[in-house]
Amino acid sequence: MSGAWLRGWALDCALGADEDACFAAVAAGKPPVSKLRLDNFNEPFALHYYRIDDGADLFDPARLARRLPGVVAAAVDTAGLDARARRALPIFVGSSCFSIGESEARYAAALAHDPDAALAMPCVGFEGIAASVRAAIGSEAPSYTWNTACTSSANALLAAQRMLAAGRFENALVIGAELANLTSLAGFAALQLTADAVRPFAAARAGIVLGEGIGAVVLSATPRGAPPLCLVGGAANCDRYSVSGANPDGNSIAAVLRTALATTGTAAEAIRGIKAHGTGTAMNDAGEARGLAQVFEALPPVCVLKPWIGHTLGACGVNELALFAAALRRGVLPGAPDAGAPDEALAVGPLAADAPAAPGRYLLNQFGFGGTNTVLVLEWAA
Amino acid sequence: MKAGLLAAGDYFAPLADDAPLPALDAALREVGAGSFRRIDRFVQLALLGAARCARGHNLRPGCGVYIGSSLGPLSSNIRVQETMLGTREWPMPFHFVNTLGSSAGFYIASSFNLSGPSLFVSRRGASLAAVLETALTDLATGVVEQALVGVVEEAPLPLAAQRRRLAVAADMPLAEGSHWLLLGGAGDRATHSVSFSREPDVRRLSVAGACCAGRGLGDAVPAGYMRLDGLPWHDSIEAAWFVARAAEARRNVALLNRDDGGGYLVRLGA
Repeated sequence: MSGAWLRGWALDCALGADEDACFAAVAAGKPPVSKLRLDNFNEPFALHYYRIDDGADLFDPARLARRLPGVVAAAVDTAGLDARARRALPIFVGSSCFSIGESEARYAAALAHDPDAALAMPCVGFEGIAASVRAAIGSEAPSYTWNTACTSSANALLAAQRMLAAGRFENALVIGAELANLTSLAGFAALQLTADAVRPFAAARAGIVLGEGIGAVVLSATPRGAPPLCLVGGAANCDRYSVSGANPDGNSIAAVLRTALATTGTAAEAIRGIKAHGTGTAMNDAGEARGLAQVFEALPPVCVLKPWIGHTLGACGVNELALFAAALRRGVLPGAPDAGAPDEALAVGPLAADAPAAPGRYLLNQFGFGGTNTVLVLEWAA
Repeated sequence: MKAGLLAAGDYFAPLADDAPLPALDAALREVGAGSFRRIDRFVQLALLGAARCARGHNLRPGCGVYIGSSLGPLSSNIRVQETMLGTREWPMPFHFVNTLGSSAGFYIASSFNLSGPSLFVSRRGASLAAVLETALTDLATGVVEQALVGVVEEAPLPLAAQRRRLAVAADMPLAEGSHWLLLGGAGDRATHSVSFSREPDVRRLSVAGACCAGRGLGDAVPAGYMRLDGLPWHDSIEAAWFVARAAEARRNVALLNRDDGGGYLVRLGA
């Protein structure tokens, strides 16, 4: 099988700072969501949020520099890469926060000190994450930083998989990072897409709940790891219906699902389960459900992870892959807490309780603003 | 990696401190790049450059849109921060959506009725190399049959503020640009090609400048000379300008771009 083997991964999210902590929190059954109040607006607002509980000021711009190295080190150490492999390790980053939080903090401080001289967006460019990781692991290989909204890190994974399959690298480090910033919080609040709880595909779904998370995955052209998990490929397309939502008729999502299956030589009946994008918004869930219905005569088990870690935006591809892979390692497909009654019009009932997972192929869906749809095909090799 | 060069086109404008940004509406109408509401300068630039490249060509529906940029949609990010932190108001939804790198690709795909992948990738001064390598990989592996590949950089006004943002000299000339190539696969007839290779040993070469320095290596340059100087935003747009203008003139040239991840060689040839 040509593809990219998951050689190591790590996740730091609202559930916990490592895999064991995450699954202990899942076992406890209570989503780590809390209420966040933003008073620094003329019209203050509150929203629910899955934050990384590090005790720090949520908007401390140093948080990324404090949290990221540990996640990267855990993934790279687990992968067992030696010094030569680390030097040759390309870095693929998918994010939607980058240095936005630091820009906001510096601009706010400048406004307080001297409003006339204050400069918005003092930090420009997207390279901060890759540059800090490069220094930390000693990589001398290229970096690729993706900014395609909520599919950013999924597209980073897909690009890394393709470059490995094409023989351009032996290994690749793929990072997803999303930490709190005002732009994302206020932007989604302004779009009126936020809700008190995330209930994908439920009749009572009301919107998304944002979250923080940093994930890292080491992919390798060489099989290694238990269980042997391989990113065998996937597909991306562009949905021209709306810049801020998938077509609710499901056609573009069906198209990307079909391409992902066809290009990986996978029959729909061979899919053992689906990690849905499942944002809990009316439009996304309708498009995703109708797209799935067009492709699958009998829908495999569908699991949703955003009720556990929130929507980590551009990082969700890597973060949810890391959590999903960890669940497969435990032999389960995670159920969702507080799932609510399914919307009968959508005919997708995500798992409300853990279900056994079996070797075989799984789909991982991600969809984002700008019409970006990305589907990954993951195999748990027997 | 190599692909057929089907077309090239661009928009480039040096900017003046005491003048507004050039109006783009008429130029966008001229190339039939759609009439979209609520788009920002970055999207306008991307649309104009892509349309100038693709006009007269029948793009296949699965053609991918690949955008590279060092700075991305900067003016919308500035506007959103000024709104939130300067006036303490919530951002307008469309301003927020325009802060995302994927918005420009959406409007290009909409303008040309494309449904292939729409991607945005950045690598400081070597963003052209990053986006070309991505597109060429997708062409080589059959993910797409055609790729519309461009680099877009904007320079928001006032330029004095932009120079502070970029930490460059107060008299540094600034420009905005959008430079594009249309690449095809085996099914397309092309008289010229674009190839890409990584040159890991380039760091051992003596190349003047800082981390992103490079130089034109061509047997002919389209106009002026290459002056990649280690400033990421500047190298990003100038490298793309060089390649797009050379491609439009069907010149045989090479561009060496380098950064902390090594060297990247882009060649145009018959």
